[in-house]
Amino acid sequence: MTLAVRVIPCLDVADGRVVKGVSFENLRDAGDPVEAATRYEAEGADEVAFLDIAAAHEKRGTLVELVGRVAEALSIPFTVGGGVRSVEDADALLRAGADRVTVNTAAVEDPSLITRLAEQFGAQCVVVAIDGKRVRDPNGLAVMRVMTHGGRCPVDRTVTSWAAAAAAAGAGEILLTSVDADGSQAGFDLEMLRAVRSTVDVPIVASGGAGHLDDFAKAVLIGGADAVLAASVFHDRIFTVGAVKEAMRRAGLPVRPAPARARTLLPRYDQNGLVPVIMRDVTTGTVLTLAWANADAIAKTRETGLAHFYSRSRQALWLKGETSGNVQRVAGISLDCDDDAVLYDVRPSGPACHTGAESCFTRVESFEAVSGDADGLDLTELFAVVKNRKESPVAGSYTNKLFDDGIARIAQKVGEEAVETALASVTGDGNALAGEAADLLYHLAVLLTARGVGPGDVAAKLAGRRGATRREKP
Amino acid sequence: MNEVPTTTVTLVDYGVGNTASVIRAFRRLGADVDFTADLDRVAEARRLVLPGVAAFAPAMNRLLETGLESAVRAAVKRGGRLLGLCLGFQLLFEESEEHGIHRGLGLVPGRVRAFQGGVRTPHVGWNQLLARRSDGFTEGLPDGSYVYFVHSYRPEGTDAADVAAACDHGGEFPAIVQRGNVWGCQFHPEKSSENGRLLLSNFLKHGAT
Repeated sequence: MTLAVRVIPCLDVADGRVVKGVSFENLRDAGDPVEAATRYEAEGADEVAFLDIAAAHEKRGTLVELVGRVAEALSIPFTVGGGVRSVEDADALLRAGADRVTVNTAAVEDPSLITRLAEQFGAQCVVVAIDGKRVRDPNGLAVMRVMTHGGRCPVDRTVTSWAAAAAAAGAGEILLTSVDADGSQAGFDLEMLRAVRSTVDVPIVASGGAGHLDDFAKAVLIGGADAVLAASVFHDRIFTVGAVKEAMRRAGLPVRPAPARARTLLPRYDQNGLVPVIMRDVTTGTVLTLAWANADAIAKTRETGLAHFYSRSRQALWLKGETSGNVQRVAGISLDCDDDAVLYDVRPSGPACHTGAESCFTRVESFEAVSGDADGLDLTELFAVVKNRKESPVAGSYTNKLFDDGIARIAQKVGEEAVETALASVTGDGNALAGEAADLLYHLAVLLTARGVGPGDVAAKLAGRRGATRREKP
Repeated sequence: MNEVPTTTVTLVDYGVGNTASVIRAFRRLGADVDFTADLDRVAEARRLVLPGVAAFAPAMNRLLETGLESAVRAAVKRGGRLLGLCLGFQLLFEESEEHGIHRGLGLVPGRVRAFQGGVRTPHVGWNQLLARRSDGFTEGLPDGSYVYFVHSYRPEGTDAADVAAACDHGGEFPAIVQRGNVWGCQFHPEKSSENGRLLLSNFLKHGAT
């Protein structure tokens, strides 16, 4: 399958302006929706969602006017929801340029609305938003219940039964928001996602709770979502859309590359407009220095091919080697996984340190002698055993069962084990992490062997891999 | 655009769905858009676009009732280049099985059927185009480029020679067809960011035969 996992920034709007809701409460005004949506498109957003928070009670004209302005500016699809109560409401939004509409409370109150919308505009135009929250039933068991009116009012209906009914009525997609997870930044509600995934076949958009880059891939790999939606992490610039896509790509998920004009790396600058820059010798791999850059310094570096920084003490842009003549020719720049640190790979024309040393890091305090980790990890035996199983199958062997199930199944297992390893690293102790890592390495060895890739092939890649992978050639 | 000062695109107005974004996409590329239901203007069009977001049968009925069906045929016969988008693409084929069996324009061999079991439907999102042959429309577009799809039906039984690009969603289906001066794409170029812009500008560049 080559259908890409969609990354959808959501803009909560009221009276034509962007607001941000934390757990649907405490709104604050923050910016122009058209500008924000355009920025998201440039970053590689696959779609933009607009949720009109005030619309359930207010006039519709402002929203329709906003939709028209958004349509004028975007060349990617966008979905609009909030207060859509009738075919006429949806018609006005679609005519103004929306690609799809989202219905929530009105559809719960009258499910025939979904069918009428699907008949009029096609199922693919109709997104049913479901807000779910855990409530204790009389026996004290947690039940996932549907909430309406912006997640405030519980309805006597489970999330799964409503999802099934909505899909049967003609919903083309389910936008599933966990009210429990929303605003927590503790990750998407994987349990709720799985429950709905096992109930319906239509696409599911995961919403609510994104806080870490890994959360997005988990929503797809574990939760079974087809798309991921988030508001505050994008709007507060905690992550860029590009960083989320890169994290998903690394987790093995298909993502659409960002438009060419967005492939220029965009660091996330701190409140002083600065980003730390590590400078490394591209030939030897030696770390030379750590300094700071502002946007002008990065731009100058691109323009001239020479390392430029920003001096915090002199409050000025400076060219490395300006006085000493030891300029640093930049071969490429890299950005770290959450966009807040830059790496310059350079070919030095002389020492990088003002003391005359090759590197600024010359004073060493060594811990090697007290490290208890000297035994290392040799995978030769593991690969030998796996290869032996492939060539001489053993009845009842789990390894042989994996080979029989085929590449797709083994690949899936590797994905699962990778996610479990990631989970153990944040939730388990060192022992649990080592256990998951062992499972991952074993399944990886099976996958490589199944594809005819030997340990030596991997070792060769490792040996040749000194540079960063997100490199931009100036 | 290098050659002509202004290019006119005639967009068939038969009252189906959201055409605003198609109009905007062509205008951004510097084209004039004539959004019209006028039979003569459609019949004489050099570059004709058949849009559509709706169900197959009501859309085809609208074309027949308004007389636009004959006008579109006349334009094609005169050598005007026709581009069908999404439902407008499906209408190019012989028939569709969307809610019963309905005749299409029959300009391209093939019939439109629902995605078959086991695959996520509707097919919504960005998927890759698999290049089959290059003929104007896909000029300069790398194999594997992502474009935006939203649909539950797709053509099958097409002539391989007509398929310029395929897409894989539970099996391959034709995503771009080019049969003489009749072109069409299942996805939405007007919603496909820079890749869509390239395709639409190729359409403007090539114009009439």
